Amino acid sequence: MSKNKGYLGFVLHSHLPYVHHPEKEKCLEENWFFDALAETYLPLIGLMNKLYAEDIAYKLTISLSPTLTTMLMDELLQERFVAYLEDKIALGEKEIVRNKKDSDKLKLSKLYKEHYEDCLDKYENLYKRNIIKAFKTLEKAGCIEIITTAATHAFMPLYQELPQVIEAQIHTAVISYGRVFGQAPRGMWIPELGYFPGLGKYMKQHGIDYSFIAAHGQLFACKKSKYGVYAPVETSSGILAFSRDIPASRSVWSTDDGYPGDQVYRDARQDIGYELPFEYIGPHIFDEKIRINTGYKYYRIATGEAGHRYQPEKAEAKAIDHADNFIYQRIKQVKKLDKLMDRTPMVICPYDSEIFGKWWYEGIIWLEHVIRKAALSDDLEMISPSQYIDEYTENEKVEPIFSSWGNKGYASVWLGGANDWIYRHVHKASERMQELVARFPDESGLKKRVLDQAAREVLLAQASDWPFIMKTCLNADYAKMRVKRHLHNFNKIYDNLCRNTVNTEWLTRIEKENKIFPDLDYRIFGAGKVNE
Amino acid sequence: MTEERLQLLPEDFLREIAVKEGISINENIDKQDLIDLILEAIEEDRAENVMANNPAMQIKERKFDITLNEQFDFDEDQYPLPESYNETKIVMLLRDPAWAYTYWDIKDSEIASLKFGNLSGKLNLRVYEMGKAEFSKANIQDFFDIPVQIEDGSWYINLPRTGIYYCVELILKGSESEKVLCRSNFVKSPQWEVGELDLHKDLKGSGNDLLLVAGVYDLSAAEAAGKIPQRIISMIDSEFLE
Repeated sequence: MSKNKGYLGFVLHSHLPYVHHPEKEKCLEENWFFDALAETYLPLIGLMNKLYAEDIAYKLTISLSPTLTTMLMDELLQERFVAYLEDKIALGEKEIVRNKKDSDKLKLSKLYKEHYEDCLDKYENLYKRNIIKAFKTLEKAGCIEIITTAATHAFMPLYQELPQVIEAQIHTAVISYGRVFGQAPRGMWIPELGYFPGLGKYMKQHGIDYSFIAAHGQLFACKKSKYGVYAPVETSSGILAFSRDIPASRSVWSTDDGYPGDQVYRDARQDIGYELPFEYIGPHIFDEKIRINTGYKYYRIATGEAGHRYQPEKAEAKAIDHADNFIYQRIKQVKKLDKLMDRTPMVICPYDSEIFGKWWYEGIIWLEHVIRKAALSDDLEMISPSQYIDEYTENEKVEPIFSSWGNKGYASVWLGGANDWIYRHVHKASERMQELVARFPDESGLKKRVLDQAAREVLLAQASDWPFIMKTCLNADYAKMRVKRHLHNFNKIYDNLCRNTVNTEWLTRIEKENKIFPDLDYRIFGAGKVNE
Repeated sequence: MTEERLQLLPEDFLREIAVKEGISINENIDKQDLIDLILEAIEEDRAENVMANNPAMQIKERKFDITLNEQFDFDEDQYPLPESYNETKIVMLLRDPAWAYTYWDIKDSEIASLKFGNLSGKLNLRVYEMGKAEFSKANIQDFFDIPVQIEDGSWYINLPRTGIYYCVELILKGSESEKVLCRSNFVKSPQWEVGELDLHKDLKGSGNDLLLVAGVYDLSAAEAAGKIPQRIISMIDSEFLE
């Protein structure tokens, strides 16, 4: 047993759907990626490098989705990100002039402008636009373990009757990880923690050792686990499933009783992009008419009240207090567990990476102090799931049930009145893709290009993000368009192949637009069967 | 969508938005009142979305929250999808332990026979409760029928029990005979309680302590809360951390 009373398994899930529009001069939805890079990923890498330089012992598990890694490596998006940062800096210069008589706002304007300048400097000069290399370096240093997730983040339980889809999602992800990181992943984040009995065998077949599930996926299983959610269970296929710890998750996730809801923190929604007249803000919003977040925010959270200025020093002090509280609660938790377990408990704390920075501005400060305090604690140690399963090779055999971390714990977020129409079509396209593999088992040249692109279009249509946006966002048109366009592209290829014709000009165009998974082989959809 | 943005839109377009939002309006309503009603409906939608989503989902929603304006003009007909794939088939998807979604398609020739030809009767979904994922008389524990129309194409089915298998058939029911048009895959509704845990025993003894720590604190409260796992677990959190 370890000298420590408990292990902390911090898991940061990093994913965005593939958004890439070379056909347009600019695209609003690309801001999902740019905002995340400027507000979360660059600050996070900066923090991890700083802690490493100070010789602070820590270990984070970071899942990087294949769609996100593809976008990080895309030259067009890299170019556009630089332009995005330059625009933010230009806005900062204007803000400094506008706020010259308001010292509080002026200080914040300078702070934000310096942040964007720092992002640009590091992105261009330190990382040389290669964020993947920055992550790899941290992994090599032993600070992080990088894992993967399904190729386009499909919600697996809704495809369980189509084994070729599950197989294609997992196999493509593993190949993509190998190409990007030069090795095989040990862990896989299941999109939306959407597990169904039997899913593990597909992962096992591709060398995955462990994954994560929702707590009730294990707690409601037919067999009770001896260690509750504080040790992984071995599924029927031999994959180890770590359960999300609810108390640790909730203190960060919850907007009401979690730390990020504190009124001293910056309000993410009050942004000058919505507040200032078009004549001023026009050049910095979308198409000079669609108001967007600009990153320049001067107010703190104050429910129902306006005019509460944001004070970064107070917010930083609070974030440190909240880090103290988190560590205090975890120590209390593991001390209780220590009396009940004959091995070191593993408390799994999974978060969406974008909580830190993008959504909870002070989240990066909180994370820094959690890591520092954990490193000093005699009761806690941060480790990765790989380290845990190397230490404890024997684990209880329990097959988790169908579950997810979505609302109500199952599939209702991804399957409801707003989005159920997609499944009929996406399922059919997936079946037809398998049919194409059977009809054209050994193609090369132009025909293979066509078939590979058909496979890309089907994978992209399967992303869980599209039904999620249809269900939860007021403007779901982009998500609807994406599903319909990928299906339309697939159906056009299918029809062309039935007629034995190929429009090479059109093919080249959609290859440029949807150029994810460059080494994809369409035959990946022909497998679908796994060894029991 | 902001008031500022709505002010820029023509009145006809505002009326279309109002229809989409399910707002009933009278002919003589003026533009400002129409805008107020739309903003009110949007705010209600937003509040409903917040209520309906757990914290993880609220955060994920914000990932895609880049503007309050409507930003995308998508012509629904730009990428048309087939209305039917001309096959007779039914698929069942499990949404949660209490609900399944089923969608079906019927071959054009069979639809013609149903409407005009020699196949007469009413279309029904027959939902089977099964002991195993294998269709046989011996495995059928119970079944019930749901009348549907050809045009429906899909249906949500309330599942009466958990921990068993279900499948559904699309059936044409005549006055004296029935024809099975197709049968779906099986789904298994997971149980909604902790495995092997006797709730009537003292939870603090006999190895159940870990479950208490893990989240199964008060299952009677869970039942009262409508059997939503997050609610079960959130109650536990506060208890455990006290």
